[in-house]
Amino acid sequence: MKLFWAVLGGACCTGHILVAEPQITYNSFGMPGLIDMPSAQSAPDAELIFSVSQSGKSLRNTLTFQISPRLTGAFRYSAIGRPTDTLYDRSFDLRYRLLDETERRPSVAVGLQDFIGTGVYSGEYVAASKNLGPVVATAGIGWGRLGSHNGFDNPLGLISSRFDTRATGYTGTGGQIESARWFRGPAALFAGVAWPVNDKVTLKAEYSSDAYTQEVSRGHFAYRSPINLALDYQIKPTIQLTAYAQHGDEIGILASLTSNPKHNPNGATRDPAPMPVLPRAKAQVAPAGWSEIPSSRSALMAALTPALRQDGIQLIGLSLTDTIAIATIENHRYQSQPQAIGHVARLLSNVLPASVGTIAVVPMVKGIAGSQVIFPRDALETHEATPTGAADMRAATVVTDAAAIDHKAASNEGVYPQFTWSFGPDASASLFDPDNPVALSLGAKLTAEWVPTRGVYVTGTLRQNIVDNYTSDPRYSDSIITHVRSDSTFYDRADGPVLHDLTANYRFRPGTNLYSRFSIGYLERMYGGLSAELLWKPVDSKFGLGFEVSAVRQRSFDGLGFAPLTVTTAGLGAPRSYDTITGHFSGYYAFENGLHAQVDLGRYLAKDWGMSLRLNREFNNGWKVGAYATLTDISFDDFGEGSFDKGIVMEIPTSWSIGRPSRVTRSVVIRPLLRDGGAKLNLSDRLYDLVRDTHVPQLEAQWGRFWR
Amino acid sequence: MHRFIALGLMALLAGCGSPSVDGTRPLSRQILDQSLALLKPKAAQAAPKPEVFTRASVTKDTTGPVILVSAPKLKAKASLNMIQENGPTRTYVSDDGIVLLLQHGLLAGSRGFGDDLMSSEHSAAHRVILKGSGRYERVLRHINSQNHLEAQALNCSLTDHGAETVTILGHKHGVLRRVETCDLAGRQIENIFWVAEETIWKSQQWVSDQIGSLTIAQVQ
Repeated sequence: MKLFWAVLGGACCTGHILVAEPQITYNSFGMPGLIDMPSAQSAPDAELIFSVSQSGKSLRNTLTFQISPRLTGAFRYSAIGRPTDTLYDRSFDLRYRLLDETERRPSVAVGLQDFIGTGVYSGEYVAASKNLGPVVATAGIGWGRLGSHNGFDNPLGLISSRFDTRATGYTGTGGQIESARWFRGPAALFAGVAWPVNDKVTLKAEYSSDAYTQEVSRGHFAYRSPINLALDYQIKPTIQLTAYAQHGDEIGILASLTSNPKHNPNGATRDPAPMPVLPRAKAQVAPAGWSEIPSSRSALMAALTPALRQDGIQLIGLSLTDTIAIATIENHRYQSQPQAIGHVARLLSNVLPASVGTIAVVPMVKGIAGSQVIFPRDALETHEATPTGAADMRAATVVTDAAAIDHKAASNEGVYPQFTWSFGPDASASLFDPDNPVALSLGAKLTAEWVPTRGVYVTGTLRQNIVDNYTSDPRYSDSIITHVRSDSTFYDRADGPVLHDLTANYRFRPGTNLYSRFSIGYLERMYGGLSAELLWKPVDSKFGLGFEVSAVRQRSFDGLGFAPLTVTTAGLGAPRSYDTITGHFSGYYAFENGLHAQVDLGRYLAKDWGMSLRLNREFNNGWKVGAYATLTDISFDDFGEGSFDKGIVMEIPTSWSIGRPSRVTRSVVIRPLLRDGGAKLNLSDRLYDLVRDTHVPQLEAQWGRFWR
Repeated sequence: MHRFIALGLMALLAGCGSPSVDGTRPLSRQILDQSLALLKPKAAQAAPKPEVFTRASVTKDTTGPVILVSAPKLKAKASLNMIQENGPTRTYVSDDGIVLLLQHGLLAGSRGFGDDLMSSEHSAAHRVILKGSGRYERVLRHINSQNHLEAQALNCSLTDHGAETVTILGHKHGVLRRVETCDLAGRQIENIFWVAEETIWKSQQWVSDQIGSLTIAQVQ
């Protein structure tokens, strides 16, 4: 499970600021709780917890996220020893805190443990927790696994006899929501206490309602007692170690690491200071008609270009009249566009003649001008250092669409062509193969980007594997539908330098509120072809609509061809050819509270029709934590293990860990099972994400950095 | 193949690329440099020689206003030259790019530290500092981990501690020492002003948790 540590290391090790709330302790399932038993507590909002527990022959790796102040979610990957082999199991939990604790009343939560999947850990509970002085006491009732010790007839049986019995096994190929089983069958009571002895040490004791029936029957340990005991040691505010004794026969350990995207212990990034505003009274006075003289424009360009470049900002164009200046820029340094816009505006005030009364900045992202941010020069002078300067500046600013801007007339000569490249180490991982749960590869990567003119980007990536821990015999996909994704391991294993992608993209604005992209080439590791995208997104709207269509052909495992080998459980066969047309209508919505939703409707790679829903919780500093699920017309049986495609997505900004400004982020996708149903093309730089960065909702959210 | 591997290993050690558009080194290189810096024994870094500030040395490049600033919590000291004046706001900058915004000698903002003071509402404070004693409210704004401005209202009181002489790089000023105590979310912060007429010659002003207080002296 080292991968998780590596992936999360950057984030989790940074930790978060100590909060006044009592320290939450985690149970062996990685949820706030006692030892094996849950509690009614929630972690602090937005807390991310990665925990590893090992006892007997059970290893559990859990990633837990406090989705909202009341809702906790977890994804778990467990290895459970069996007589001849190891069972690798994925499970999901949810907990909702129904009631907050008051002086008289405990907090109350309801939870589902392992509610999707094969149900090895499946159980439901209602728990109540109360602070009694420093001690947190918890009591609850459990069903399923949590009703397996000292169980009694289900009290819900009074409502309906359907609650009396619980089906065993799981439905079909697993991965389905087993709601027909929830809160069914015998119930049992559990209880426990957590006593913080001091800041570092917490002692815990519980009466467990989990009889560990399966583990005991496999001889992992003898079940002698329902009493479990634990000692928690808080090494740092972000690192907890727990040793526990289970059932009078087993010792376990648990380590948990926490991080919170809302609180960076290192504080804000250390940003270079901006140039101060030059008041117009001190600005140079130019004769009327100065903006018509070509040399005055080129002199301004010559002054602005290097000064902005120093600040990580590229001057793409400048258009001038005697009273209005419009600067088109691309910000390569600051995560927050308002910060870059603020820097540009201040620099402009230093060089523009006094006759210019209106300054506009057009932030461009990868060749697309998303908006025009316009302010009166007076406002810049007035609000530079006033107490509510940022809010006052926002009130004086108008943001409009930038489609009408004539980039050709305004262009800064010498910006194009651009060529950049980089060569460096690269790590990649594929997870959850039962033969090799964490397949890691270390290699070298060469990337290059050529921008011959505005909007045209030719990019490519070449990768060479150097060391890996791949098994000698790969797992041959048993998928009964076309292997559009499930042969990915053969792509990972390709020998020699691999052309990961090589694409020519053209992005442009067909009209107001409209954005467009054409791509051709090796679009991603497994597919090559043509792709086109159109996005409608008004500059001040929280809502966007997109359409994307791609004609693609599946690539060979290595090389430049389009003839991947046929894979069956018997081994590799003859080369085959596969092409398809895939595409989606997409709807995007940015909610007030940082929640972002994306719905895709369309045709997937295996020619299956269906829809995907993606929900992200996004933080203003660039952190994103989300989940997605896809349902298509491929039946659960044909899909195979897991029944449908689903996963967890995290994006971590580099600026968070290095403490300096950067626009680079690192994405992690945790997909429990990579199969062929509901598979999408992996296109980079889709329009919505490029465009919304410069649109009103996002600008407003980050406006606090305008004067930074 | 072997040559490629050798190249790959070189990349692991170095990481390279064209200068990126923002004029900095490639990120892989930056991260590598940072990691290498962490591995180096701390003692190997010779402590920089403490810079000696004299009136001649800090005013040699300018006839405009200059301040001498020390940050005890950061163990740093620097002279800052005024580079811009916009209404009541004077912008001072240090050689290493730290910027302070002062309004009538009161800190209106800092930039370049990280945990910066983004803005300050201190008009009432200014009146009372010139007058001698009183109670008033101040508002400070900082940026939090989520890029939101957080306003903190402080209840302050100011008392006069009598006449003193302060010496700033050889120049003596007869001043009154006035001490401001503010309640900031349950704890106290103390700012000190050495005032003569309308001029704050010297002050100790709080910036933020991580930066602590700055001592600011008006050299010229």
